[in-house]
Amino acid sequence: MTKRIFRSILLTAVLALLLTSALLVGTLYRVYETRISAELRMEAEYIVRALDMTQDDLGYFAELSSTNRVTLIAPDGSVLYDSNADETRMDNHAQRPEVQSAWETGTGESTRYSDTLSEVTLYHARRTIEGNVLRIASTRSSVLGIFLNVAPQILVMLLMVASLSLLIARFASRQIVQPINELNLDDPLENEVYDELAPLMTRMDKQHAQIRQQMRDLSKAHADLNAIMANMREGLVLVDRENKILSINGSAAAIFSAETASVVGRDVLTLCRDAAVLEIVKAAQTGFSDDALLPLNGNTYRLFASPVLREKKVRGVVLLVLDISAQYAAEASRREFTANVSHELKTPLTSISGYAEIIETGIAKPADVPMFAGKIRTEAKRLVALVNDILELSRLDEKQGLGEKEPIALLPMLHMLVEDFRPMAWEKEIVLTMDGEESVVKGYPMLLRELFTNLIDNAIKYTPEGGSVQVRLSQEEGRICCTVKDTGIGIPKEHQAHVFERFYRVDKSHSKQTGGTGLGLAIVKHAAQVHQAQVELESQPGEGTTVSVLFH
Amino acid sequence: MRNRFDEQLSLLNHELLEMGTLVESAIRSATDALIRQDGEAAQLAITADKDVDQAERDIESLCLKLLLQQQPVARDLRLISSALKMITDMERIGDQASDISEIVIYLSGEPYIKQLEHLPLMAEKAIRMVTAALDAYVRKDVKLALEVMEMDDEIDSLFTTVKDELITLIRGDAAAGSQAIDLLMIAKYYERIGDHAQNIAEWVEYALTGRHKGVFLT
Repeated sequence: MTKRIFRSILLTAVLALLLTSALLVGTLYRVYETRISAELRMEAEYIVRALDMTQDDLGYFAELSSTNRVTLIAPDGSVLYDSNADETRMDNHAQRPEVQSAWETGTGESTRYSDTLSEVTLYHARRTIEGNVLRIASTRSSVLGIFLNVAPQILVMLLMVASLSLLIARFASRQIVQPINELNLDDPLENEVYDELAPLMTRMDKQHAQIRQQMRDLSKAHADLNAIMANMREGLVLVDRENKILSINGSAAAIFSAETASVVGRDVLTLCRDAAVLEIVKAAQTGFSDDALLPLNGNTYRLFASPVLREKKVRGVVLLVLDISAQYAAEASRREFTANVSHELKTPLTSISGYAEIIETGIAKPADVPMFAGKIRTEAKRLVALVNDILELSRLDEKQGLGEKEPIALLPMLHMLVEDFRPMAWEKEIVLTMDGEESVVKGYPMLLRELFTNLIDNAIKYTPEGGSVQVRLSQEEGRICCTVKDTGIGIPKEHQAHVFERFYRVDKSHSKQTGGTGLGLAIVKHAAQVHQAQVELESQPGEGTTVSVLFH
Repeated sequence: MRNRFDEQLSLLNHELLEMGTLVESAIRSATDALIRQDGEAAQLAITADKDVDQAERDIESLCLKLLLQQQPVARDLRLISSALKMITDMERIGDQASDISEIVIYLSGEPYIKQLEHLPLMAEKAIRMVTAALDAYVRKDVKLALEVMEMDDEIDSLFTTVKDELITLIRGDAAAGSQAIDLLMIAKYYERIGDHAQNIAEWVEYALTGRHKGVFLT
């Protein structure tokens, strides 16, 4: 700014200075020249008049003292006298314009410049009576010469002008800039400076508003994203092109038992050194999504790695960590259940098909056919019982078709069930007793009947002949408790934890005789769960088993 | 602008971790194979060894390139030279895992002469040592590195136990001799893995403190 102002001021000043001096020199010079030529004419006139009066021209010249150069030229052009030079050495002057003009008209004038142009000589010639020509010459500086003479002064002046311009420019620019520097940019419209700046200020105000809005939007988006990342149950890790962790949310840090602050910027493998993780991250870095199972600290996680693509280039990897422990366990148990069901269904079917084949091919004697038919029937019955139990279980799993919960009087229900089992108990000479007080629970009648049927059925099945089965309904600390106690074979300690599992059998060979499906206690457990009841098992091998169902 | 040297150092760090991961998974597979007599898992460990070898060559050339082109000094030089030493040990661990797997495959046709008892313990200890040594590197944890060095004694005493057991077994039943020797070999391999893990821990200590086996190497 200062520079620019300085340049303009300097240019103006220098131009003014030069023009003024040129004009001044030109005008003064002309005045000066006129005066000189008038002086020359006068002097010439006097000298000629004096020469006309004297006879001894040369003697007159000897006494003449003039500041100008005086020359007397003979009519043939030879120089008779010259005040400044030796006349004998001078060449013929006949061709000089002022001399010729003097012969013709009596007077003559001319101006000639020196070789360097810095000097100019004015000549004035006049004819005397004798026919000679008197010439007076005055030599002085030309315009250029004057100019060259004053050049140092002009130069000094220019320098002075320049430094003055610089000072003025500085001052001026400071004066102009100061209000601009003192502008309140936070609130542009509040300023009262130059009118010229108004459009700028308005524009600035608009942009201010725009920036504020964008910042608000951005910080909101950022806060939203942070809230999502911080509160999601799934672990999320962002990894850059060089496998360094860019960001990690709380869940991921907790899963890998790391501290968020200390792992950011470190290699992703410092989080979890696992071949599966390495493999999927590598795949994602080459642009392919991949997933892997990761067993960690007793839990099972599923990891998804996806490339972050921008302009078709991989810029990093997003790693999502899902805790699928429960799902994985459920899947495993379902797989196991399916395998067991197939096995359990196949066993009776193989027997049925075998017996049927014996009858078909005629290997069996006609007398034995009823026996085989009986066996087929038994197996088919087992199959039906099995399918029923499986259906019951799957219905319990789905919690479908149960209807509404209703208040159920347990005592009459148990009485009825016990009566149903009495023939079976009598057959094995087992003493089946039932006692207790009236209790009412809310529940599903069909399920509860199923539950107690299974318990009493098991008790009678696994109690040897002559034993006893006791069903009792009681209240314990405000909870309704139904106990089925037998004097049966009991369950060994190591099997007690497993008997409620589906298809779990304490003694595989025994199951054939008793005809159980292996699902009875699984149904009991499930039905109890549906009623939020607790099942407790107490057993001593050889002494008997007590199963209690505690309702809340 | 990030320094090219820093970039290469971080690449070295990543490749070391990658190699560590491969080595860890190789001994896990080998141990799994041993306990479950699983030929497939054993094959996995043998294939992993090839990757480990490749990783060693890659890291070696990276280290040499760094040394020659960047001429590192002080801490960086320590880090790179200890990396060079560590990969040798890691590669050896990969080899041992592969050797164990080969014996496991050979043994997979016949039942073990006795219930494996101390061998899985040794395996577990060895894996824990390798993991801890690498963890010490990852977390720049000198204390953990020192712990690894102490763990080596436990694995050595377990080896003696296994050896004595097998000697008793051979005395009782000469026919068990061939398998007993194979099992002894496996035990020795695990013991060696422990030694290599100890070496790694020592180099980690050197990289972090400049002290190796109690002597300041400068």
